[in-house]
Amino acid sequence: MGRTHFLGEFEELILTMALVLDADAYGNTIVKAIKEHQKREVNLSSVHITMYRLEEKGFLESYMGGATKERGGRKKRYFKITNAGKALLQEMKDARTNLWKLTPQLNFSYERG
Amino acid sequence: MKEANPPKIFKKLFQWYCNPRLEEAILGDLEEQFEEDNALYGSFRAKLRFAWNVIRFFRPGIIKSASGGKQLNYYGMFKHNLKIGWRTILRNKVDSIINIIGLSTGAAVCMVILMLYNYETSFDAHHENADRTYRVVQHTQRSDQELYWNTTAYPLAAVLRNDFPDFDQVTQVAGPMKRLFKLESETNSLVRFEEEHVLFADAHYPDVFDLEWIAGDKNSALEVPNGVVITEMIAKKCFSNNYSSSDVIGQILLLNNKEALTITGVVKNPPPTTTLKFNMLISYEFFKKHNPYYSSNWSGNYRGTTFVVLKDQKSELEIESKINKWKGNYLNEDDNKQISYWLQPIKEIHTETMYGSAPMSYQIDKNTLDISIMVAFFILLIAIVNFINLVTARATLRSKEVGIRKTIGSSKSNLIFQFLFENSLVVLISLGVVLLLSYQLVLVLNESLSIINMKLGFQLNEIMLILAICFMLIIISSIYPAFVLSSFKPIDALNYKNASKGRKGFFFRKGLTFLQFTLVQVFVIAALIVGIQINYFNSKSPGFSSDQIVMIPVPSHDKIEVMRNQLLESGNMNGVTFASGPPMSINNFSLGTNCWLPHQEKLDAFNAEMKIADPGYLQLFDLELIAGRNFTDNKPQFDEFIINEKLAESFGWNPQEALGQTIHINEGDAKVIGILKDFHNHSFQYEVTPVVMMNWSAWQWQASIKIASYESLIQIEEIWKSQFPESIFSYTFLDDAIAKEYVLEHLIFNGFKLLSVLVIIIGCLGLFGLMSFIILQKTKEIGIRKVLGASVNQIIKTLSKEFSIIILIGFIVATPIVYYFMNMWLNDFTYRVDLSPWIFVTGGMITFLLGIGLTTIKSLKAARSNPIESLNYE
Repeated sequence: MGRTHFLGEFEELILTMALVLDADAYGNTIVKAIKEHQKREVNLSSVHITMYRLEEKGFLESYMGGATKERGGRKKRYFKITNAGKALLQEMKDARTNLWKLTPQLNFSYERG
Repeated sequence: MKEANPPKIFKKLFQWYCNPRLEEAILGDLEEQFEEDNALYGSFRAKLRFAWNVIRFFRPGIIKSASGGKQLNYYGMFKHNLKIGWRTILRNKVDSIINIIGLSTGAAVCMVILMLYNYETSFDAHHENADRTYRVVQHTQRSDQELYWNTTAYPLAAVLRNDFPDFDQVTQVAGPMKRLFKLESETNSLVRFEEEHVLFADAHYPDVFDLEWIAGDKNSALEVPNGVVITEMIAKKCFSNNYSSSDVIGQILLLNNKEALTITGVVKNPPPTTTLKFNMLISYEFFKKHNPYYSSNWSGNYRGTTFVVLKDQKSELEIESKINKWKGNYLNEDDNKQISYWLQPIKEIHTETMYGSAPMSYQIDKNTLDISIMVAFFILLIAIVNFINLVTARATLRSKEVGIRKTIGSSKSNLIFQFLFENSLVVLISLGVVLLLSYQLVLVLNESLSIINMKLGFQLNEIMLILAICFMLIIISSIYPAFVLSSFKPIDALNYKNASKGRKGFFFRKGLTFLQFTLVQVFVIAALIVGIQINYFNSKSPGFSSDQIVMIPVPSHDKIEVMRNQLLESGNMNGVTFASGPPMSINNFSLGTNCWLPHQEKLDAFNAEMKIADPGYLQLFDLELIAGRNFTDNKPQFDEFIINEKLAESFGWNPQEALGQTIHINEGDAKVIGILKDFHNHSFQYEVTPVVMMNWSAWQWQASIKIASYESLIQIEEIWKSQFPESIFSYTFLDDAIAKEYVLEHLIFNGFKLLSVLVIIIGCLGLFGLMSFIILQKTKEIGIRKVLGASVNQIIKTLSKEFSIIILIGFIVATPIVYYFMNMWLNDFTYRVDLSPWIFVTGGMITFLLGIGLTTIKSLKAARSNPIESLNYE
């Protein structure tokens, strides 16, 4: 496939997280998960805006649900990755892997399932 | 676990800027995080994080978008309001036109009056030193009265300059005077002209008053003894429109065909807003050389004005007292007791009537100006009141529309905005009309007031200011109707219950109409009074005959006898006389002298007007002798007096006693040979004053001729030219000259007439509009009355009743107001009409009939309507 446009680093991160968290992906959980797995502090606003962008591009779809008392009775906006998103992530991973294979010294690759 | 809440301000901030679609989810996330933070780290850190997050969330994708959403709505509503507003105006063409006309005429008149006020109060303020510049005026304390002079003795200036260090500058001028000039030059054709505004000024004049020099040196032009500085206008007259400075400087002008003057400078024409107008400035040294007696005389007062510039403006009073202590050094004992000097700021000259204007200039009394400002604002007030009334009245008819809009979901502010917008449309149109109208008015004014050289111009900041004020006022006046309208309850509006709904605003509107009509009454009565006064003026006999009489100047008195014979021989003249002037002094010009009896001191003398006449004078002007006889011949030196009744009275004589008495005057003494019946020796604004007449040929510089036909004029010119080939012929009809004395009064009257008509029109428009509304309200009531058997007349009476009461009360309020102001105005006139109660009643009647007439016209249509239609109204 001759795809011309890939995602930025942060976008890819968010998209991957959405894949990871599957049914439980919304603003706060993504922030927490990134903190936990990547040891990286991201701001809620960046997460939100990225997710909206990804939704516009068609890689995520969102739905409302799950109001709790802590949220003042407000619903959460859940994000679920679409097939297009999955395909993109796979493509990106493959592209990277192929490139790594060509580098001389580092002959290892981390693969996460 | 402490109960904490996220910081309210930030929360509200977020809710304000966030896109509504995203708000719920994001805010939920934020609050969830807040709760976790609060549990883990405490409320302070939680709040901090919350605030920080809110700030971070302020980014393009989150903020309410500028595209789509509310923006489109505003634009859509704007277009909608515009359309609806425009259609409303078109639908009620009559109402709209009435509104626009009323508003714009009121505003235009107000604006023009304000311009006039600015113009008249800005006289002489354009000089750089104007704030520190003063005119020296003189008070002379006589035994019977105090006289005020705006001119002073000539030697005063030089003395002030030398003896007082407190003055920055002192300058002396003589004039303006009228002189004859001839241009002596080989290249140019003969140019001969008479100039009325010739000023003799000393070398310090350019330092006191600002002049714009086109050619010549400011510092030396007036120092040259025979130097003359001319204005652009004179330069163009003498040298053609494309003169060049090198052509002009150094040329010779002959004064009175004898003296040679060198042109040393050219300046721009002085602006019209000055009391000291001049077209030529001749060096003061020249005047001194040719008038040695006048220019060194401390006792006389001969058209010389002294101006000073103070170093320190605040020292005015101090300097005045200094001058008055020091004057004894120069004045003789008698004069010193009577004369005192005072400083008058030059900016006040034009409006301070106590000292009279500068020679050859006019004045407008400060009171008149202040009153006119009040009048201007009154008119604007009426116009605005009208506007409010009409708009509110008309708007209540739209209550159904308001009801529907509210039901659909319009908010109060939406409605207010809508009506404000519609009113603004009307206002904008009016504004355009205002500009147009005021421009025309200014043109007309400049045209008709060209006698006093009025040149009203539109100054930018003036216009802006006035427009802004009018605009603001008008917008404010739109707010009331907007509020009344938007407060309707939709239920009432749709149920067509507005008969009772209108009550609240109705009282206010009634009050406004009342105000309007009171003002109308005031103006009607005042205009009546002014008209009667002017009529009185016009019909009052001056005590002498003035028709068919032509006045011509007599440049040299040795030709008098020759001229007299030639004129009489021509057969076309009904009388000739040589004198100093006509019986009524015109153009502010009269000769004065002092009178006292042989056994009296000159100190006790009183002022009298001096008139030079010849044996033909009394007959030509139809003056009546009540005792004694006329002059028998013309003498080079007088030896007989004819006096008027007033003078005789002043000495305590009856006419018979006066005959044969000897009187001393400044110029000599003589016996009284005749007593004249009093005639008006001043225009009607002033009293009759004592007059002493003598036949002194040296001072007979004017000839008055009663002509038989127009051809007589041609003959007069021929005869004159043959005697005085080197002078310029001009003539004036006595009638015209006298009429000129009343120009200002006529102007005021005409202006007032115009204003009153305006006020009446606006008031009537207001009444008209209000009546339409009332009638519409009462449609059902009228229908029922008709069914019950009322005739058309009765219905009209019912409708008129309400307004009769308004007009009656208005009359009672208006009368004392008019009385007070008119009395004040009339008191300025020596000869005035009495304010009889009939005038007021007539005025009231007129207004009453006017109001009733209007009401009737409007009600007629309603009264004749078919009751079925009105009762079927849904």
